[in-house]
Amino acid sequence: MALDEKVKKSVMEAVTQNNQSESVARKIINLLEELSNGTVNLNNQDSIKDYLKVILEAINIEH
Amino acid sequence: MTVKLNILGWSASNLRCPDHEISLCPLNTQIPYKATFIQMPNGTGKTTTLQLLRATLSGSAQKWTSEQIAEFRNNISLAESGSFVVKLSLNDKLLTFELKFDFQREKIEYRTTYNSGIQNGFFPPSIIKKFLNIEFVSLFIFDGELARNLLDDKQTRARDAIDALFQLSLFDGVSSQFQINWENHSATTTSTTEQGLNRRRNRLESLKQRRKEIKAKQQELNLHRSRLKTNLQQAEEEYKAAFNKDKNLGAKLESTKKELDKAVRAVNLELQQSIEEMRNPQKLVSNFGLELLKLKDNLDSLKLPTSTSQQFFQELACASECICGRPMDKESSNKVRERASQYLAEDEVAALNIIKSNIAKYCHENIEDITLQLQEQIERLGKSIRLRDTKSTEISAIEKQRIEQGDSEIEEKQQRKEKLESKLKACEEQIREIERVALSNPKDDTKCLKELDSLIKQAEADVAEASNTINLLKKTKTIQAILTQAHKQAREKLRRYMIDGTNQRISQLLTRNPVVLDDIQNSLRLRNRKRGSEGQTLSVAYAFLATIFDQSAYKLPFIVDSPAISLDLNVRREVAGFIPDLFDQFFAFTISSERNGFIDTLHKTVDGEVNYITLFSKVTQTKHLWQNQDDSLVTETSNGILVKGKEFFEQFDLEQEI
Repeated sequence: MALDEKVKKSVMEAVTQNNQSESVARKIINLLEELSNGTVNLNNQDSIKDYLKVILEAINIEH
Repeated sequence: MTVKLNILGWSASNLRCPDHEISLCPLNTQIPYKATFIQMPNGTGKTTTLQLLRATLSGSAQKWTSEQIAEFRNNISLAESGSFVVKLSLNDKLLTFELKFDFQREKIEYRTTYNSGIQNGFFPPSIIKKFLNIEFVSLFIFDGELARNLLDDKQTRARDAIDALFQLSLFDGVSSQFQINWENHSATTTSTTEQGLNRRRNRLESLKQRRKEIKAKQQELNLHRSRLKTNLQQAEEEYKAAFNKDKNLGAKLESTKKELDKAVRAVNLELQQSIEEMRNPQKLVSNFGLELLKLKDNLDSLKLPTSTSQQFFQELACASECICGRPMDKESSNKVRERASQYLAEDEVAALNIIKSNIAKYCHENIEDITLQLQEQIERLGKSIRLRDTKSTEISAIEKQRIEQGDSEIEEKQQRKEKLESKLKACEEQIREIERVALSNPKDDTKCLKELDSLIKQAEADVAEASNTINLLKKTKTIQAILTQAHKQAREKLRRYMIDGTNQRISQLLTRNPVVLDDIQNSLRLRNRKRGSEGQTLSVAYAFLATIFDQSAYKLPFIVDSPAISLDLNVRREVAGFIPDLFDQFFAFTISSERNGFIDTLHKTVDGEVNYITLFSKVTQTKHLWQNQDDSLVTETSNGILVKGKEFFEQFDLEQEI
């Protein structure tokens, strides 16, 4: 994978610090990896919007 | 996924360096040598070649001025155009960047070839795009200046290198996308705050409360109406009994009331028929039918609609033969298709035919007959209204006559009856207002139940919309906080990792005169000193780059100008020892003085898998150097000589030879 393990670990930690589930971390890392591999483009809202939707759905604000 | 970029070779023609073509791969392969040394004596165009490599791989020449472009012109041949082409392999796929110079127009153009497609312009594939900019290309096409920049506290090269290679900028990029997503959503909503949501909730509650009150009022009014009706019926009977005490007037009133009922029914009937008559526009506007008949005549004289429709020609254009029997070639087919638009479509033809047949069926030339029918109907309506009004007046007159007889009982009964009628009317008006159909744009203080239902429905949608928006904002803020924290923590982890890794390598390189990397913020900071010697600076830069590239999933080539010139002999050996482990492909532009300690050590480290190239200008003074060499090792161009092989490379020392 193109994303460094230290970067992934930082995402996992930040997700825990914000009281979110591991699934949120996995979804963010997945998006970062797709961006890193060039399969998703940051300059193209259409290509990224489904990933944003999936992450937003996983976020829990009922704490 | 590991991304692997190799440089396979390049060629230069009609530029300030000698024309040459360099291959970094063994013959007939696309796998480059582990290491290549290109020996170019001073003044041969080494700096020019490095500048061209950086510009071709970064797209940076697009911003060059006319003066900068002119600097690359060959001052001897003064050719009008020149080119520099770099061949690469990206994950084993061929990628080529071409930089073309037009010295006449003082312009440059790029051309990119990838995946068998050629594009004018600089278009690196997305997978590697983030590294092919001048800042990053300067990291892997390395020189002493970059080493100094990495330690310069006014520059951000060290931080930029970490950010780019570990892609920390993705955190900000993704965070911005969440912000854009939220802004796009909130642009279509009218409430984006908690206060807005509360306002909408309060309005919904107030509308629901009002509906409850009106519903209760409706029940109360219905009950009241029912009581009023009973009382009125009783009052009417009492009034009738009192009235009938005068039998003559009683019988007259009864019969006149029957006539009034009949007259009212007649008015309703005539009114209905009059409305029906007025639905025919010819009867209201006498010329209307005549104008339509003229329209029909015009369509007939224009032979519209035609019997052939657009669809006929469109189908004909697709046929292999024309209806005349000639083959339908491409040109004819295009012409038929083009002209088909001049004909009406099938649905347009059908609509015109219906209009024409209806005009013929319903429009008449005899206007007087038509308008007379309506006039007669209006007269009948007027007559029936007059009769109804007469009967109504007669009833009032009979009642008046009865009261004038001086019977106080009947007057009292009539007053009671009228009072109840008035109350019932008011009650029914209120019920009608509550039960009427909803109008558009009702106000919140409406008494109409249907309007209240519609307002409640809208208010519920408003609350849901505001509630979703608030939730989206909360979620967006949460994810942005995660991304900011993750970015900060990743940067800190990488900073600590880079300091430890770089210091470990420095301690191996500079055993006699060590320096310690204290911190990495924008640049590399040495402990207790602002800068090191030339050799220390180069060693620290190598150690830093070695650490950063060692961790990365990106396998990039490493190109260095004079890799060992300012290094001590023992540091040269150390650097030459670790470079092949860090980079799949290494090549360096050297001069003869760097052979000792560096090139010989690196040769051993890669088990002799080294490509040696010597490139110099073709002038009279250099003729004796290459004239007696094996032809298969020498490539001669109009102004340059390229000799392959370790033996020539090691013996070559132009400064001494000339």
